[in-house]
Amino acid sequence: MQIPSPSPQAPILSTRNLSLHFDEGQTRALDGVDIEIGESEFVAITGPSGCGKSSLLNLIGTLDIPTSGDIHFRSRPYSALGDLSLFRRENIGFIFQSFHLLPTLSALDNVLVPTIGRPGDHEERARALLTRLGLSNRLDHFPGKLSGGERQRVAIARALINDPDLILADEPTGSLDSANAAHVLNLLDCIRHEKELTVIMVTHDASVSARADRVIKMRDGKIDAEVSA
Amino acid sequence: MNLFRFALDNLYRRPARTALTVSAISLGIAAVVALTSIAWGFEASWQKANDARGTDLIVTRIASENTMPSPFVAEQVRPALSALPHVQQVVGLLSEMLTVSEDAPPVFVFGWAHGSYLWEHLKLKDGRWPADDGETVLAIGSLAAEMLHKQVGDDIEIEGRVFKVAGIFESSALVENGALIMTLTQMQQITDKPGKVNILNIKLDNQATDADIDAIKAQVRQTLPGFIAITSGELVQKNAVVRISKAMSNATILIAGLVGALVVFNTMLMSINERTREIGILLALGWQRRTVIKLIVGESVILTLAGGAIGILLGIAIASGLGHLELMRGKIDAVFSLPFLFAVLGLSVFLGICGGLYPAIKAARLQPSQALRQE
Amino acid sequence: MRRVATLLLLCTFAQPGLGADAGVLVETMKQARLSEGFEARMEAATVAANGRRATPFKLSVVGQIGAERQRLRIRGISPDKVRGRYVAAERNTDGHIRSIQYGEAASGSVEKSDPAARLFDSGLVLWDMFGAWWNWPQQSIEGSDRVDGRACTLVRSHTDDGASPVREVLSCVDRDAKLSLRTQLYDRRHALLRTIAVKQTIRKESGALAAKKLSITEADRTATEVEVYSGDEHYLVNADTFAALDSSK
Repeated sequence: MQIPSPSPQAPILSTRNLSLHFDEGQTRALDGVDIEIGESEFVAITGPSGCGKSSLLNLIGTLDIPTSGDIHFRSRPYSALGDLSLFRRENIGFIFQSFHLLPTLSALDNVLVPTIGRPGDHEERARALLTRLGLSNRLDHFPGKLSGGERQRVAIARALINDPDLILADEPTGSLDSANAAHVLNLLDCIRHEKELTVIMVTHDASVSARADRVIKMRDGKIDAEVSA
Repeated sequence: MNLFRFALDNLYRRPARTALTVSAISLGIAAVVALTSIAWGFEASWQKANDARGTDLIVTRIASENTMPSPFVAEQVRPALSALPHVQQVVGLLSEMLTVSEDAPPVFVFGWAHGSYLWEHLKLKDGRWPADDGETVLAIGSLAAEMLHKQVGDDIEIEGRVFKVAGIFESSALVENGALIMTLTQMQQITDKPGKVNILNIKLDNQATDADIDAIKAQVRQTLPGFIAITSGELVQKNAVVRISKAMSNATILIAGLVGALVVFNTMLMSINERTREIGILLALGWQRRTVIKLIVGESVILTLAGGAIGILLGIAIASGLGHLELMRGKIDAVFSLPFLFAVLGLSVFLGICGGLYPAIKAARLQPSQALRQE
Repeated sequence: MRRVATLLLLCTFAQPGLGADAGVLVETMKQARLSEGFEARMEAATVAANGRRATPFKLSVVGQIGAERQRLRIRGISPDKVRGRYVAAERNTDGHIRSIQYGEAASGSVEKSDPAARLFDSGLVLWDMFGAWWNWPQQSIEGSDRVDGRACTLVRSHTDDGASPVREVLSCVDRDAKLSLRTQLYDRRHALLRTIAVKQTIRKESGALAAKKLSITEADRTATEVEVYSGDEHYLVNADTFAALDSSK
């Protein structure tokens, strides 16, 4: 289900008039958002809380369904994709602020969760990813025994296990101290360049958004401004 | 890493909840198994009594709800029966439930025709059998001897007449072990029912087939109004006490089944609600909804298989153990049926699947972002 | 048409005080008691007002109830105190009940006895067993009541016969069961002598119900609990059964 790029210049992702309303239109989390994300771009989305940045990320990640408007991934509209879970598994990796690891599984098994149901043996790749992220001696540890930074690195490994082209990160350093935050962001940068990943990151932190190629500012469910680095 | 191991890990790493669910299921199953096997044992004991005697068919008055068929004059019916094809012997029996001691519950007192085949299957443990119809003596079962604290040579008063215990016997049938047996003539005398019996036992010859048995039943239906010929198995079915016991055990199975289903359902529901966030993560990671459902149903199956297996073993232990308790000794003779146990296990798993399916489908229907928001 | 005719017929032959409906019910009760021969074996025990239970005793009641003549023979079975003691009585169409008592021995004395006397120191009374009140002229329906949750019809039976120990009886009859669930007996001053209440029933061959357990409560609150443990609806009455009664005429 991996969708190839139609051309190097074509955007990997675009939204048109994307809206997300709740309570019969009373609450407008997103109100007509148009954006384009280029292949291998690192885009940060910032704005005050409640501005809709997480909602935008959820919609792009197919974690929610828009009230109106559409989203295209490499020129293919989401509405025509059929089984969104399959699309999600093959093309998108998530990193959350609160890590969202499964407490009953070891670090290695957590990384392998997205591979259940996929043919092939992914254990070697999982071990390699965790080693790459500096966790070679933490493979059998459970999330409860890992530090915040280690947990987020496990989550990154998990996000990468199926070789997606798009990474969506929602405040990935929000629960980390500055040392760990920097470490995680550096790792992400390296891997992003290695694998030519597109990263869309929601963040509060100015130092984080400073690393991005482009910053999209949002307010009240709409795009306020776009700033290129 | 596969779905099964994932399910197993989930259960293993939540020991408290897993133990609770498995315990609840196993208790419910144990109750079902124990009660059913005891009820069947009771029923089988009646059947054993007749099977042990070697009776092929029984002829009695058609009785609706009495536990003992009402007595009738034997000679009014015996000639007609003896004339039927394949009938080798027709032997009368008179039985009543009487109190013979102030500190013991009522016991079965049987009057068997002296010298008939009915006596042959009993094993004499002590003393002797009644010598003839005129002796006011009786033989008592080993259980009866214990309950009434009687030995050979002791006196027992029945319906105002004093009988001497001539012998103590053992029978493969529970019912007979707890009974007192005298000659038919003596029984008829003390109950003031001269010439009467309440059951005629028919022994057929070796060539009799099932078709012949059916033919005899039909003949009796036609030529002897008010009477019915049935096999010992059918008699047991008709016995009001057995019917009540079966009804009670059916009711118990139903209730236990419902309770078990509710427990499984509720536990799975609660656990799913707790795990909505986890389900959201799985969905976000690209799991298809049906894979999530398979996981949860898989966990239910593991839980109910474990609970069911433990429950069956527990139920067998309880039913067997009860039979050895001083209080219950000789009164409980549990019967276990392998097909039934498999059916119970199957039912347990089925309930587990049903119980897990509803909440699983409910959870998988959510949008991942909703599920992730749950605590 | 037939119903009207039956009603007319009953009205014609009805005696004063006999409601048509009462007449039907009374007739049903009389029919239900008829028997060519029956035996009932029962265990009875008295419980004093202070709760003290006497030793239970067993007795056999053999009866032959016809339209013209009714006979009962009671035999004590156990314990020793009652064993071999007999009380027998006969009631003819004139309503008079003649009762005797005697022992096992052939040459034993046969004495007259009072049918209204308490049997073996209990609330059981031979007179009650005849159900004589169903033959009394004055019968009326007094409405309905419930006994132990079962609906029953109240029937008042009355007699002006000065010789009768009981002058009035109030029965609560379960029509379908053809059984009085509660029977209250009053003397000529309308004092309650005793109440017979049915606690448990058993089905007879005819489908009607008979009492399996009953309780007789007397004026001093002594209760007698009776349980029927065996019986024969087709008891073979022979020449010996009522021989003592016959020879004492």
